[in-house]
Amino acid sequence: MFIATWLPYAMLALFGWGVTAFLPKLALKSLSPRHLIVYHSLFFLCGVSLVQLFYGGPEFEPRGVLLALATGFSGSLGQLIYLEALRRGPLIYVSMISSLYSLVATVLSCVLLHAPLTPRHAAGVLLGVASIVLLGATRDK
Amino acid sequence: MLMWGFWAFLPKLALQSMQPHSVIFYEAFGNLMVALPVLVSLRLRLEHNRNAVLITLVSSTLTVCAVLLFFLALQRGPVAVIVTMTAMYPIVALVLAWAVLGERLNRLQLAAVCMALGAIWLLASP
Repeated sequence: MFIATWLPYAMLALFGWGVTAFLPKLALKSLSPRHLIVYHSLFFLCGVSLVQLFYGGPEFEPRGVLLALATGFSGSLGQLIYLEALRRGPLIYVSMISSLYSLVATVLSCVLLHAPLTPRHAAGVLLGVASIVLLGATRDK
Repeated sequence: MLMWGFWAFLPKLALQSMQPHSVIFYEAFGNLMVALPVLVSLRLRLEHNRNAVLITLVSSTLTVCAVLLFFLALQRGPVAVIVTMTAMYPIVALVLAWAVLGERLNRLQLAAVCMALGAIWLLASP
């Protein structure tokens, strides 16, 4: 049976991100979001530093560095807010709503990069907003 | 969702001038820009809980691995299919929430989750 060479990598990435969305719910039983974000940032830095060994170190390009720093800042702030939400609500709700971030990325691409909004993406934005409204409306009290 | 929207968008610009491994390296320092003020707000005192720290270590390692695997997949296969497939990761979280935490959904909530997955699929497709 033929299996595409990229498929195992993509499947493992899918699984890894899924487990990553789930694990903090367990850690939050013992530590607050603020403590977890500090630990996560330190472990993440150690992990990516190890990765540099395989690539011969990072490049330096000022604009790229600034953008990467902003990426880390927004990602980490998002993670902190995700942990706060996760502490207060069920994993299914929090992970589903937060995973619709691609909706924001699509809108930003359209506004800032003038990327064309295809009918498919427009339908995705509308469906995403509708799902958030429905999830909010049917939230168990 | 809003902050992760920026997180998903900004690398598109950063990757125009640097390789993925460099972007992820500086991204880690961007993380520290949030973590350090938080640490100061905790008066430089981090609580120790063996289980929670271990879980966070596993979670952080998985994050780094997932990003690398994603890049490796992108080097070998079609971008559109891979992005769409990996965007479906909430399904894994959903199954784990159901199986491990015993979280349940009624029909309307299930419909909302299906709509959200449909939206992710539409947004991740080219």
